[in-house]
Amino acid sequence: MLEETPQEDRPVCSAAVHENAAAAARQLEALLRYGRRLEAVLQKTLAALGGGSWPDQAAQIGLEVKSLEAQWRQLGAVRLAYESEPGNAGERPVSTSLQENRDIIATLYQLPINKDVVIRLLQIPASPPVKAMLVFLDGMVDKTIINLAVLQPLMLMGRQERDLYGGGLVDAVLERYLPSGQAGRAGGFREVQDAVNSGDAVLFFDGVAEAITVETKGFEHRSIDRPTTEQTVRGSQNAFTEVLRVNTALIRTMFHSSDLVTEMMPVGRRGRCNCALMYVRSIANPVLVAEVKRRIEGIAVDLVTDTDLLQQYLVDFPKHPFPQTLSTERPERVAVHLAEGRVAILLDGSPFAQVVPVSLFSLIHAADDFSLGFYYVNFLRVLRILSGFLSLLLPGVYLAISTFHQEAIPTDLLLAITAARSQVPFPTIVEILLMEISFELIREGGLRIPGMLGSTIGIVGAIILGQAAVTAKLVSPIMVIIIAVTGLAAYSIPDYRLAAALRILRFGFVFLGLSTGLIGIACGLFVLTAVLSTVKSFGVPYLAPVAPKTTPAGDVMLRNPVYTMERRPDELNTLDQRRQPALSRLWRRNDPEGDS
Amino acid sequence: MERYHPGKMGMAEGIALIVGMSMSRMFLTTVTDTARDSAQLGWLDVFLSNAIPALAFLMLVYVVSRFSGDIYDVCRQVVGTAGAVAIVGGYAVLFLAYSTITLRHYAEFTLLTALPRMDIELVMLWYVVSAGVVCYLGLEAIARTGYVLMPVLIGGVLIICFLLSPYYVAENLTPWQGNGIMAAVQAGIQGVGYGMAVLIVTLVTPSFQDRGTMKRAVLYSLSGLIALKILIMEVYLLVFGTTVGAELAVPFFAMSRLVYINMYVQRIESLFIVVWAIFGLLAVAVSFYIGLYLLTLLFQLPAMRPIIVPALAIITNLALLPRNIDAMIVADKFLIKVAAVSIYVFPPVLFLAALLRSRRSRSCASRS
Repeated sequence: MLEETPQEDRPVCSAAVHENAAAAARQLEALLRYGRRLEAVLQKTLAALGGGSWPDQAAQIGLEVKSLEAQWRQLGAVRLAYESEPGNAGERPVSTSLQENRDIIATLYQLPINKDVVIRLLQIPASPPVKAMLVFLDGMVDKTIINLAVLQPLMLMGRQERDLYGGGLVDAVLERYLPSGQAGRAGGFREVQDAVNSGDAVLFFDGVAEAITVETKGFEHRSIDRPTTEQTVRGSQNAFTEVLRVNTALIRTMFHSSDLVTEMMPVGRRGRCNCALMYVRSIANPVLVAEVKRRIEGIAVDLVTDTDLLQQYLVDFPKHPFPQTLSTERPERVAVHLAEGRVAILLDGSPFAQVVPVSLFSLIHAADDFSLGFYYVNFLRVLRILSGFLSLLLPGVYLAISTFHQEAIPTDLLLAITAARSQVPFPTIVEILLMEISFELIREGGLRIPGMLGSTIGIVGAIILGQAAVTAKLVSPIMVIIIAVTGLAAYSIPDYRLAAALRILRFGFVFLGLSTGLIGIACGLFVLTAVLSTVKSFGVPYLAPVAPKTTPAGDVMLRNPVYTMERRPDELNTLDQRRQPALSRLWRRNDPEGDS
Repeated sequence: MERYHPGKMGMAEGIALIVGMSMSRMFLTTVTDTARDSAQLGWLDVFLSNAIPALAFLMLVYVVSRFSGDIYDVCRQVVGTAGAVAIVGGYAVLFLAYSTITLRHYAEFTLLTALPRMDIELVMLWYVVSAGVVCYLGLEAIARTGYVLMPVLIGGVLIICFLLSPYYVAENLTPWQGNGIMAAVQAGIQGVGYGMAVLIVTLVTPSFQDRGTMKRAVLYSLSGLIALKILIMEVYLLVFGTTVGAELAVPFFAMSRLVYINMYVQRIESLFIVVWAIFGLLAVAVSFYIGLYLLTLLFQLPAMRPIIVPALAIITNLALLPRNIDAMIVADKFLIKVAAVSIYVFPPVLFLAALLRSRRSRSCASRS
């Protein structure tokens, strides 16, 4: 663990600090004076050119420009001091001096303390020879690529060249000596850092104020596997990995289109992480795309490691318990949503994509809904909607009815419940809380216990605990059934975050039921619906297309047959509203093969 | 000001506001009163008390379509500042009084049917807090909530009507003249205060997309409302007849309580508490919001949200003023009579004044 140096050990002298600050202020004032003078001369020149008095004033302006040049030279030391500040190193342009570039790299990466950064000096055997420097992060690059695709061509083939400097060194190297699929130019150390940090190698040359970035990524990563949180019976079985480029490629394997755009933008002030924004240019609403970009670019945070973390910075209502993005690990699900006009956000290091905007109804759709027949899908959808209500309301409604409205329970059932409850020494609310908390403990414990043991202990724990609680007369059997059904219902909701939100709200409904029975439940439902109707996901109402009412695209709560879903979701305001023609099965126009 | 009339609402929202406020009466003593006043011609009573306000709506639409601005601006242009204060103030008082009486009504019914041991103050607190939260979220939220919940609520009402079919006695609808046509017409004309909700869309004109949207919303909601109310009325009479029907204090609850299909489908009245409670909440929220909105316009306040909590406290205290349920029912009947002013007085006055101004400006234009 790193320990901060105690304050008293630091050789701090307040007088010296004040003196340094005063000197810095003087230097800045000098630069400002120069800036103001330059501005005045430029305005004067502009006025002279516009007013037609240029011939008269040209000589005087010339003198002032010469004077400015002299002042600029005098300020050289100040500029150098300012640019050499450690805090500004990252913003400096690439220098023509190899040594200076090396010093800046050393400053940026805290060399020699930092052992990850490798600086390899080399000489390209041209005539005259060119000194160069290769910088990369050990472990992030593929050393075979470094050796065979960077060092070998430069060190061996360069000997045929005469005067590399004469013909444009960077161009010559890029065109003739780097057999890499991706190589580019970097003019400043911001780009250099981005490249090195993401696993690329950067090549500096002596006497050239530009560097070359070569793609040499080769870090270890998990290979493509089956989805773990969105398992399906039908459909694709690929899941995203932690490598951004693999993930974007997986989406492209599902969506072969030149219209599919992948924009890259860094996220994070200190740990700059690549964030990919994917959308279909001819479908997605440009305002939506611009808004998503604006929000991503407007995040001021040190580090973002996961898209689920990123979305908390992006959504309209971050304090709202309901998810406002669709988090998925399935490329084909992203592809389907992109085709509907949504935007996908992916992040380097995260195996989940976020799709925006979404409605509440999108979150009850499962991945294999797209693959199954619509009768069965709709049966499952109804089941999931029922699950949602059961997960939210069942304990609360049971508590309300058993406490305030016993007449609603059929007599035989009421007698059975009363008999079962007669030996339980707690009120129903205590029973509910006891069982709910036990269930949550089992769920959480099952997740944290490593490997196969987790699920086994979860099942065994639930059975044993429930049985023991009933035998010990701590809870009634009906309560075990209520909580078990509620738990099962929560698990059948496809979106994990939606299920979590309903789990949290369930406790609220339990207390509403306890306070005023079904009247409390009615009040809770009324307020919850109102709150949901005000939520927006990237400007799109959360309950669309129901409230506000828009033209449904055939896949809201229930799903129409695919060939009848002709339009894209109206609420997305896509550039092309039509997904397929009215008659998408064109073969029906023609006679079957073999018919005369 | 723009904050509370955003101008984004469509037909569905308009329907939700009107139906949300108007339907709540069918769970209260209105059905019993109609059965007593008009007997078998209750349908005519219901029809008239809902159809006549449509004429008032058309007059107001004419006015708001010829003058720009919110309802207060329109009234000021048409009848001057004093007239505008009287009309907008009158509507504000009527809507707030409506929400006050509805609040007390529902609280009393809750005690009668669902929570007999609960304090009325506590029940009212639940209603007021829920309605207040929704009002705080804005008119759009109220309307959309109504629209989302409406199919479920209306479905619940229809289920009750259907499940009561074994108890239908066709003879209960005879003699078809009831207490006489004139009695039904008179009751219908006097009961127009029940249809005050139709005017909502004209009072919040800037919140709607256009005049066509408002007209369609009223057309659809009135058609649906009249059909649904007549259905409930007829089922009530079919089941209870006029003699028993004129006596029941909680008609819809009595209807749902009567359901007996078999030993498993019986005593389902508790489950339908949710249905009528949400209708009540909607009615309180809508009428309270509209009343407060009109007050905000009247006093030219920059925002409405800060006065929601004090206004809720005031209407809760006012709702507690009637000594008992009888006093509350008397107050309710008085309010419905007074609310007739909103149909018979304000719209015609505005309409005639607007007509005169339009003609005058046209003649001036032709002369010039």
